[in-house]
Amino acid sequence: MEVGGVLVYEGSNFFRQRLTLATLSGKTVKIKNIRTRGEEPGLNEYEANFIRLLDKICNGSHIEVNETGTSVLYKPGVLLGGRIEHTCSNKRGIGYYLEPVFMLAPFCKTPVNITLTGVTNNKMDPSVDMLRSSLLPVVKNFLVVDEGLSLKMVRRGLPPLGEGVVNLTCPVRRTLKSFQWVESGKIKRIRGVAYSSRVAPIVANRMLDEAKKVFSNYLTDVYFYVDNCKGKSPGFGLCVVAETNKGSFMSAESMSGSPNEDKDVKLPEDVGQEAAWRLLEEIYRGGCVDSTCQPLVLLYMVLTAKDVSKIVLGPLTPHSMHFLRHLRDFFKVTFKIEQHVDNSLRISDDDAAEELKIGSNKLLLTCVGTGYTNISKGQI
Amino acid sequence: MGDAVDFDKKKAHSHRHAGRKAEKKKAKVKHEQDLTARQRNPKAYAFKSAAKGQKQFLRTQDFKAKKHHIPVVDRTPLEPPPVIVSIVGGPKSGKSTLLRCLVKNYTRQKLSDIQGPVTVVVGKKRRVTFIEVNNDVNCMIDIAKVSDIVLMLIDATFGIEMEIFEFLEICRAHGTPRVMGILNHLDMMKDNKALKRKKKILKHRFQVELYPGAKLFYLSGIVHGEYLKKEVQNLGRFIMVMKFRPLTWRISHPYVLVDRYEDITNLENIRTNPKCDRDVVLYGYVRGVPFQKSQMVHIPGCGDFRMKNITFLPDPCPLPEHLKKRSLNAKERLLFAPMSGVGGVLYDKDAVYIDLGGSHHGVRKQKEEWVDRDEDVLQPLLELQKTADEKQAESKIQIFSHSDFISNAAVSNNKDRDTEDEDEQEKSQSDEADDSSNHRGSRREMPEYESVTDSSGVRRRRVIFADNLEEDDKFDDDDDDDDDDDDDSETDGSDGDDDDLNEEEEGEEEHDLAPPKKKMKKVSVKRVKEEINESESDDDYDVDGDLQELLCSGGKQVDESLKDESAKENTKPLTVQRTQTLKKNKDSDVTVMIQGILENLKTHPIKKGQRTSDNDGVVLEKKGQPESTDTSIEQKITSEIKSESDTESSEDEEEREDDKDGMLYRTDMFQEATDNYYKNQAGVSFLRKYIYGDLKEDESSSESEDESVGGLFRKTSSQTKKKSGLLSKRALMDDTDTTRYIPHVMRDWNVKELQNSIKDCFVTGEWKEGENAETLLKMDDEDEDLYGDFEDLETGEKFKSAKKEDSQKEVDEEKAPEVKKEEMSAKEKRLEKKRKLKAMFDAEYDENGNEDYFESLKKDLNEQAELNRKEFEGLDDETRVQYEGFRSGMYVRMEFERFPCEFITNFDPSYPVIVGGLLENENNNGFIRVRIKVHRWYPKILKNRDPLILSLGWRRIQSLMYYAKREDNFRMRSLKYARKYLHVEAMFWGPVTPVNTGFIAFQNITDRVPEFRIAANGVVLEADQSTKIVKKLKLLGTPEKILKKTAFIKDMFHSETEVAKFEGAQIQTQSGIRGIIKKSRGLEGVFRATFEDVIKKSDVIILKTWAPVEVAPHSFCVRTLLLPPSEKAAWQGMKTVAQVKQDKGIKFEANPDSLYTPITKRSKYTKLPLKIPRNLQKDLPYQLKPKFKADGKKADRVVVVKDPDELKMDAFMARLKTMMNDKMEREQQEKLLRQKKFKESLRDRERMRKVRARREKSEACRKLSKRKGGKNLNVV
Repeated sequence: MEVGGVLVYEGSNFFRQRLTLATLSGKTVKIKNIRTRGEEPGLNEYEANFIRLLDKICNGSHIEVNETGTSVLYKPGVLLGGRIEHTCSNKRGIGYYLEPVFMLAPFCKTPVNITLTGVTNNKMDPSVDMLRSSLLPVVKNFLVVDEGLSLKMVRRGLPPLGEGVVNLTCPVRRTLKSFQWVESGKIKRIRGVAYSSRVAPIVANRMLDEAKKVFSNYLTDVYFYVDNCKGKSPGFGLCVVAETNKGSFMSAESMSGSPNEDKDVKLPEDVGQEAAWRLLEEIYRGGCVDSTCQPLVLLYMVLTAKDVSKIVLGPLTPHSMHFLRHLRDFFKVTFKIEQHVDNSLRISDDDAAEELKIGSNKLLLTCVGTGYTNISKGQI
Repeated sequence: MGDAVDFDKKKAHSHRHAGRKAEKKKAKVKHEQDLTARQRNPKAYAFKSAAKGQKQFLRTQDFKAKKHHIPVVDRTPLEPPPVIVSIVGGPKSGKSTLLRCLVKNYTRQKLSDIQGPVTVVVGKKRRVTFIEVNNDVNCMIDIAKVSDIVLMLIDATFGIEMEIFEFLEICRAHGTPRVMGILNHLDMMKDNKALKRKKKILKHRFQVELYPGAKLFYLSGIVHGEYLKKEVQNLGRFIMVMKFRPLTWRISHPYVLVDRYEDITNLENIRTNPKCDRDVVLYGYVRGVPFQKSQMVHIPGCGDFRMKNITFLPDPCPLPEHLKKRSLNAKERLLFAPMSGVGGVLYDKDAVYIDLGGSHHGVRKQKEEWVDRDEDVLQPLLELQKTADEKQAESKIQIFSHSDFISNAAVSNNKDRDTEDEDEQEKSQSDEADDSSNHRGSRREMPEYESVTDSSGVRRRRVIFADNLEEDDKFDDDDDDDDDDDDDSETDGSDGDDDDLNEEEEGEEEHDLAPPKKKMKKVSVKRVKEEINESESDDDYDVDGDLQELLCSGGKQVDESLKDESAKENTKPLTVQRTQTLKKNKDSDVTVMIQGILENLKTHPIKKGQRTSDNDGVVLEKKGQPESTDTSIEQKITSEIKSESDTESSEDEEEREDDKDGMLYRTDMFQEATDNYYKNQAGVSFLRKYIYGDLKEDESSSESEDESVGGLFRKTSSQTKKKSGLLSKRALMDDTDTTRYIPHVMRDWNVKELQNSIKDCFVTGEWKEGENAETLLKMDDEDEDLYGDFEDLETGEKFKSAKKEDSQKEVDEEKAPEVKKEEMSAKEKRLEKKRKLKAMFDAEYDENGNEDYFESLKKDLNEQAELNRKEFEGLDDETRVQYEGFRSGMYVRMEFERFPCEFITNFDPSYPVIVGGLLENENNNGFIRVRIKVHRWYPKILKNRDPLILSLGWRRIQSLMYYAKREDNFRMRSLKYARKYLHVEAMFWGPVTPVNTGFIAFQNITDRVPEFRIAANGVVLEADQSTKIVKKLKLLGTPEKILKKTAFIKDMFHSETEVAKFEGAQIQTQSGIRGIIKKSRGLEGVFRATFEDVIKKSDVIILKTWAPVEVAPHSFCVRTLLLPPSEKAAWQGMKTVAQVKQDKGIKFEANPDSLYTPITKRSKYTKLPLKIPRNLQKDLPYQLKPKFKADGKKADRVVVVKDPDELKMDAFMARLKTMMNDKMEREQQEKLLRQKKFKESLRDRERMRKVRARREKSEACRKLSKRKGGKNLNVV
């Protein structure tokens, strides 16, 4: 809710959403009652770290955290971009930091070249592999030309010690192109990365064999890469991506806890199967982008010119639902949410119209962009 | 062979030129005449040279490219807003007359006094808003930003005025509208010749200023106070058909030209404080892009505001509905000019006003007189600031002379203390806070009421009391949403589901408690229930509620409450109070019932409430199931929130409360929830409601889905008593923040059915009809058939096409019987096929690779425009507004709070009021980097840091401009003055504006200045939060100690830290010996430095640095609309330093060092003789030893003194010489004459020779020709 031009929120949840949207919209935001009743009241280490990252990207932003850390006042500045190096908290994955950076990067003053150090894969956040495979193609759609857009994993780092390195470069745009994405297409290939660190190399093969078994029911074009890296901490996992013939990507992943310390250590076979099943689940959910990309796509749709953008999505995740709500708070944009009805039914010769078996019902989200322009990008 | 040919040669065939055959032939080739030369003879036009061809091609391409404009998406709505036509011109140039004439031309109505904008329906598809512009620069700026067409009146007798030039310049900065010049007062010219000349001159000048070929109208004169009808008609037609290109600023910002305003401030407030802030309503058509709700706007000349509310109204001046006729009839020629008092009917939000025009004026006058008469009596009463009650309440008495004054409030407070020791402070605060509460405080003696006036509890409590009906009503109106919330939460609490059926049950439930006699009471019941819930639950909700109420109650209390929210978190005492208050109020059955419940509650704190709710849930289930299977299924469907709260957030909370059974039961439920997850997600309207909460539903059919919460879930929802949207908010308040979505339960994908459910997502699965390989093949076959038909079509038309139809039908029937089921008629199908065919044909022939970028871009944009138009076409306006905003063309009512009262008191209709929408990030201020150029015609120079009045975007601000020059290495170097005739960069503090926005600068905007007022113009380059302007700074130091090439330098810095900042910096002496700063040495800023050579003690060490220039963050909004009319055009704001100094008589004390002193001439350098010391001389070899020479001075010439004889001789000689000269001269002249004569004779002789020669020649020729025997020609 808005009090005297300041948006006031409560609780630590959606912390990133709120700060990111505030930065983009230039609105001051106040978040109070952060974990007031928790055992560790106030901001967490990784949240403070995120604020620090935001401060590096921005110029002239004003951040006020109260003594207990339970309240944050954020007055955004101008997005600066440029060459940034940041060490992320090991409590969260780099994905936690990378997502907001993706949201902000096209609206900076200078092209972003950011190097993040930390945990590349963990159980909580979308891993860098996942973001690279699913988020990057989405960003490309809006930037029109993807020259200078890259996400490189220089080194893999698993929890708890991390020390993985990721480099993201992104060009800047004055405006984003509005576009309609209604066809998700059919999955033509499945790729994946089986990574392991400080464990026997056979582990990766065991994972992917299991996963392949699952996919063999559907496709033959299944291929996995194996990445046996030398990280600081042990662990292994599998990230799988499905690509459709219309250029949309679905990704899912699973990972085991580090063999020495963690309690929930899984068998490689289980990890492989879980990843595969999660991808099937993701496919079942469907849509033109997978559930991880939903917020980004929605944001970009809002930030386009004053034109209609459309997208077909699977069921919305709780995170994206709240994101929609925040989008309305910050940008006054309301999405038109409809059931997506594919008007061309499959017609087979023998029997009457029969629906395609493409998983859950899909949603069609339509919005009119805000006509957002990159204020910070200058001219010589 | 040649012979043979000759032999066979026959007479050639000669075409017939007459007769039947010839005629036939003629008829056959007739069309040849219609062909162009190029077509008839293409070979003649073929390229002969490649180079030439290339050149020609390039030339044509150049011309083509020049015509291109960057294509933009056409976002004009179907019913566009009226076109704004502004009438500009110097004073007395006939603006008002023209406006009157134009209005009369369109509407056949004669308006005598026009003020403010006039909207007129001019054609079937066009409306026009006319507005007259006075000569105030502020007014001109504002109008230039919004007008589409400018009618520029030029007084022919006077010529083009400065105002016109200024206006054009302003237009150029903000995007040029269409400009039409109108030459007026042509009848004042002396004679026809002068008129013609003047016309020509002015037209030329006008076209130079605008563009070649700019249209200039002529108004030849006034007849009966009006222009000639014909001329006005012509002008009107031009206005009607004029087209304009969208301007960048206007297609990215919404704006409204206000044509009506209203002051809706509470009259009482105005009476008590005439200068109180006003609540104002502005009306007008939305233009540009759609307006969003609660958008920030800027009103030029007034400031930034946030819209409190915006609603659309029926169009007061609509376009005619039927477009059959050629012209408009009298009824359709509408006129809307509320500021001039015309327009007939005015639509307000909830009322329609009919203006009765003239009759009012008289009445008003009478009233005034009447007021005057009774002024003496009424005035004291009218000016009463407080009521007698209040005065009484505030009055104090002193009982003893030394005692304190005792006020009424203090007394009542004492009473409070006696009855209940609570929250005294708060009460007094509330007393101060608002008068109304004070009122009540004095009226009632119920202290416990007032104790929570400003906290969340009070309003609810008031509802309970039946005697507070008014306030109840008010409350209900105030937060309807809140009520809804309560409803929902209540139902959530009782049964977690509220479709129609359940609502009935809800009613029953209430019957149990008390019969709902009135609606009021029902509400009160709900409220009490909610309180109960609240008392059960933790107090997070309370904070939420606080904030909500704060929103309702207004901003004043917000800040306070934000500060001391922690104080309010203790809700326990609140509940105690509530029970007490209930006890006191025993006038209704309802409250009795509630009282009972409350007491129950006290005894059985939490359990009881839960159990009852459980029972309700069971009852509901029982009833729900027999209703229909569908509903039961729906009940099973669990909402996303529930699964959320189940699994993630509120799990622990529940665990705390639930017993083991509950846990078991919950796992089942959990399973079910996840199973039904997707099904539930599909409920679109549920989603909409969940996400956007209060969104207006366009369809009420799927209501049941919204309340999909089954009776089972009573417990979870009893904790969360808010509407679904807000509910989850609380649940998720401190949840982990991740975008990754991991389903709660992993489904077993080994199950065949599950596997099959996604099998068509893969390329190996089934495809859609259009994409299926089989159908595609069939399609190809059909196409071939069609193609055959197509060829047939060319020869035989009707018959073949009929056949095609038949075949089509056959194809349809035999191949796709399902299609018929789909009710796709054969005709549609055929059309579809035709379209496809055409697309195929086009692909093959028209746009086969030669479609250039421009064309494809244009096509894309057209498609986008089409989609924009189509997307929300079917929706009703209410819903559409939510998605799109208030689109352009709508007539809106905008409500504003806290407007300065001067806006109303100093309102002048001749000044346009514009509401310009600001985009999200344009509200903030920052340092703006601009490219700026001093206007050529501006006579003064612009000094750094001098204040300038800028017109930038919608705003007019005064800011300090810092000029800079961008050097080759991109360094911005500060300049003292903006350079003339050159673009320089500059920075100032101001509102963030998109790049490439033009602006214009003034030094003063005062009226009646002879010179050109526009000081500079430019364009925005960048916005930032820091500045980069630097200026050169030289730090000087002196060596303290020199050790070979190392030296210790002092006096350059003051401290060690300063030195540390400059370690490694380059320094140099004034003679150019370079060095480097090494390290600080001890105190006082002495440092060690090394140089490339030994320096001297007397050297000055220089460190060249760049010091950032601090740009003062000063930016002041020019508020001319708020000034009284006399000061509107005289505003200056900040003065320049020079002006201030001049005003105060401060003179600049120059540094004597920088003064120029007279140049004293140095004595000429004279070489001194070389002196060699004697010792040295001794050692020198002889050769180099200085020799002693005798002075070799030349003897002076002896003066000759002549004696008289000699003088005589001299004189004689001189005479002789003169004679000689004279003689020589004469001879020379004679010689020249002779020569001349001789030359003449030579010429004569030559001529004679020539004559002779010619004669001889002719003679010879004659002879020759005679000999030849030709005709004898006489040669003269």
